Amino acid sequence: MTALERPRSLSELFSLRRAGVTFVAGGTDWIIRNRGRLSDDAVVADLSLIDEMRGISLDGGYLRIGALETMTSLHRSALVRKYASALADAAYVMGSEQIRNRATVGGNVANSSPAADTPPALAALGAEAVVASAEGKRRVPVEEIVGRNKNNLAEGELIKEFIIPADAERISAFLKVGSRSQVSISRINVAAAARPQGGLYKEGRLFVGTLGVAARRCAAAEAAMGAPGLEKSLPEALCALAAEAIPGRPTLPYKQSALRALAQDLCAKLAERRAADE
Amino acid sequence: MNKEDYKYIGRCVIREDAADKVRGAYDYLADSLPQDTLVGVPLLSSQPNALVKNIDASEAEKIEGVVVLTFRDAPENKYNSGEWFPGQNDFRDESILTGHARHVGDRIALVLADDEKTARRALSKIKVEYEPLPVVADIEKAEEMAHFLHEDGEESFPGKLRYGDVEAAFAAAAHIESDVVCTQKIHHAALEPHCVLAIPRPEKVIELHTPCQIIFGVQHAVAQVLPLPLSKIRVVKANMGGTFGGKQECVFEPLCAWAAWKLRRPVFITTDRGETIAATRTRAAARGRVTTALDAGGRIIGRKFEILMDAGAYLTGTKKVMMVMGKKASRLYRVPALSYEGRVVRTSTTPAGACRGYGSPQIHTITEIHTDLMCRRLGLDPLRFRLDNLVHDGDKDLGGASDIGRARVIECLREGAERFGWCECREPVTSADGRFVTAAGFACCTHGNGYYKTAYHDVTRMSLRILEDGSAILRTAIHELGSGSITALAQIVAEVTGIDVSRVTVTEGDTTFSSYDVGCQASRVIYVCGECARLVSEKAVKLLCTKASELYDAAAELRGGSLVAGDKEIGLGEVVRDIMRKTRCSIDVSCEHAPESNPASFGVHFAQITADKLTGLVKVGRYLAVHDVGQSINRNFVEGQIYGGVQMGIGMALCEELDYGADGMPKADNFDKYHMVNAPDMPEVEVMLIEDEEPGGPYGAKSIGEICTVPVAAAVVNAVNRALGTSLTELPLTPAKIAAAAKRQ
Repeated sequence: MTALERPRSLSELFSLRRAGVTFVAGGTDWIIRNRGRLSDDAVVADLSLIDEMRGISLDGGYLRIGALETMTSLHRSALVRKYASALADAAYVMGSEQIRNRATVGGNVANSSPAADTPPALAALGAEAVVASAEGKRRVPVEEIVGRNKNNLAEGELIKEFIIPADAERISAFLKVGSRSQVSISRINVAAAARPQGGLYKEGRLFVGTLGVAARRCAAAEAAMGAPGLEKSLPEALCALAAEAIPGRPTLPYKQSALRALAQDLCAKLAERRAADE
Repeated sequence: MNKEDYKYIGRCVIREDAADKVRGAYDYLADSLPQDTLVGVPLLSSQPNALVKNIDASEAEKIEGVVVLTFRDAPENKYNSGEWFPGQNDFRDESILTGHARHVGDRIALVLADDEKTARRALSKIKVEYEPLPVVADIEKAEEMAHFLHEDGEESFPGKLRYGDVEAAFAAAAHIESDVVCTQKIHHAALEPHCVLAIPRPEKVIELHTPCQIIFGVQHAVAQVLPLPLSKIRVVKANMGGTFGGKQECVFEPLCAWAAWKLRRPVFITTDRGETIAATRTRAAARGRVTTALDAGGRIIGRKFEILMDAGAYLTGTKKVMMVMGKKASRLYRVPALSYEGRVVRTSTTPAGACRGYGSPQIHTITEIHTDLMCRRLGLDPLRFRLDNLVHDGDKDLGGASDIGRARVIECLREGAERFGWCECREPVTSADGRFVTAAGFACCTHGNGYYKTAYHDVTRMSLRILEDGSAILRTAIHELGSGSITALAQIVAEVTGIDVSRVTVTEGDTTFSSYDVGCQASRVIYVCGECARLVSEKAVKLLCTKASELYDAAAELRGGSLVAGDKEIGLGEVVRDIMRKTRCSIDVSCEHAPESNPASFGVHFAQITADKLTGLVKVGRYLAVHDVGQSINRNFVEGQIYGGVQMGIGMALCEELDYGADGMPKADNFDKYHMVNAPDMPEVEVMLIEDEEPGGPYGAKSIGEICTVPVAAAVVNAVNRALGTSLTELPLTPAKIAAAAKRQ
């Protein structure tokens, strides 16, 4: 590494005007991947001093979450728990206590691990990422940013913050299955958000993680949420999605079985949250 | 002396290293290296079976201070890393560096620099050209493919044990039951990765500092590659951050000694987690068929074993492990006739070797899972069956090894079953929705106490000096592996002499200054070395009292840490000073102990589990470990060993596995893919000890450190099989296997 930049603002960052700058926030994935492997001419920009990328606030009907907010700050935030409980769930079960204290939500999305926990939660909540670069800003749905182990951001772009519709009528939840109850990488995860209405879930959004990409939308599951008989139709919808996403993969039978478990648990958790709201 | 009168035995004395370890202030080998040390990192093969055609280190060697030693520089001497005494004649197929890489992680070069960072940077610049050879990944095909892996012409390494009339037993049997159980390759996962320091000294001495288990074994291993007499090879046991058998065999010591000798510089070889996983040792995987002949009353009348073991790329000590498994098969149940046939094969995977229990976890997992499945098929009660067949107090070992000793396994099982409430929890309970099933299982096991009446010798010598202030030093060749052994020995010295335990120092092994000891292996430390500590303490007390009687002209004895001579009570320090000044004699004695017994330790573990049929995840809820330990020297240490043993065993049952693809590539190179049970998933482990004082051990103590991990996997697997009505025998029972099996049911 030849240079470490520590800008205090986005404008300072973008004024660096150096090609091939690598952005690092919490570093929980990046450091492990690059330990001892960084090329001699690498330029690294530490984003952690950029205050405008921090903060959790409610603004004009939207929940704004700075990309540098950590998993710990997300799951402890009353605003996140109220308007984006799926995201609080995901942040709470991601990694270990130590990792949660450092790992940022922007980094979790930008890193684009198919097994990441916050992308399906953000996508289910209809979150948009505010993507910033020297050229300006644009808003992109989270599910369009995450690719297969690679994000869809252009060179020089970074995630500044996330904007989530703050809808008090909406409930959401995130669940995962890993190899252990804690400190575990997801084998499969699922997130859903919807407005409860007369025993059904309207305007449902449901995303599944770890099926090749971090947030895969399941239209059949969303339709099932709005109709009676969800307990029966949801597992079938999720299993069908898995079969379509990873056909013939040796892990498919297990992922389908685990999805049936997650479908059951998701129905129970949504029902619990609906009851708590009423 | 009554147990209640013990001042130190069975007490929870806090170990001297505890505070520093908790604060992170404890000094491990990597923490303080001599000036001028070259730090070496091994260049490991990225290929499972390949000839190294070329190593281009030119870019690496441009970095200042970098030295690259490759297999072309190294002696080709073959050795066996599992051989710990000259003349054991274990088959030699390994060299310090190799041009034929036989597994991912095989050592092909050593890259040295002034610091680790530079060495690693240099390593990343080395280009290796391989010529791939066919991969030997399947143990069933290892014999026919052996020539691709080794040029020595050996297809496999067979061994047999046999006693009684096996054919007659099977001919007379009312029932013959058979199962195949597979146990997996496991990483030891000591917190400290492998490392070793070698320093060339004047007068043709090479000095090694290593966190090892057998200093005299390291000496022997180094003598295989350096033309030095043993007396010129000094091996000092270094502070150790865990081993679990992983540091029992010599992996990097011969290479390090050779490099330091060649370069005339201190060399410190260090590894990271991935290198320790790929390049060191593993628990040997076993595929075992066990067939049991029963009479009409449910008594075992004969048993046959066919065992196939995976040594990995080199034979190492795996043949020893395989043979020992057979020797343990006759020490848990009364088996009147037994045939044991084993074969060890080599595959293009990380070599196996010693791992906590040395074959016991494999053999008892095989038999205990089989016992439950057999009982289910025959409609026998698994508790009753075991009570009818377990060995009894004072039984002979029909296999010809040492007598069983004061066996308390029946008590362990009976009292444990009562404490655990086995009868109330034995039947599975399914949740209302059918998804979760709770059930219980248990397993019995045995393990040894040293080498008496085995293929190996067992002897140890220690010396004890009582100093001028009445404190004491016990000089030993033992190795503190983290289990608290040296504090336990200090407790024994303190109990015998009355010297306060905080004033007793126990030294660890140093081949130059220590007398001989066989090493910290075979669960021999407390039973053999502990007894030696007791004997040498008694000898010192006797010398002291004899000299004091002469000096004070009155019968003298030690009482509560002081000397009583006639009507006088004199402080110990003063007595020692008087003796030294007036009789010109120091209180320094030496004692050799060669045990005349090697009794069995026993354990029975009970586990209650809840299985999720959809996710396949198993939660171990309640856990009871019952052990026949003779007498605990330090209750905390015994419990600590058991907690850790249970953690390793649950991992063996459910999640830990070094798995390889058909292409020979390892699937895990770190803890993200190698899954161990962590603290949140650990059950509360209840410990119940049966302490009936084993003859021949210090205050009746016998082993616990290895045996406590032996029955765990079978207890958990038996619980899962009871819960789901399955007959799962391929460890580990991963979520995918459990979910698939639950679906089939």
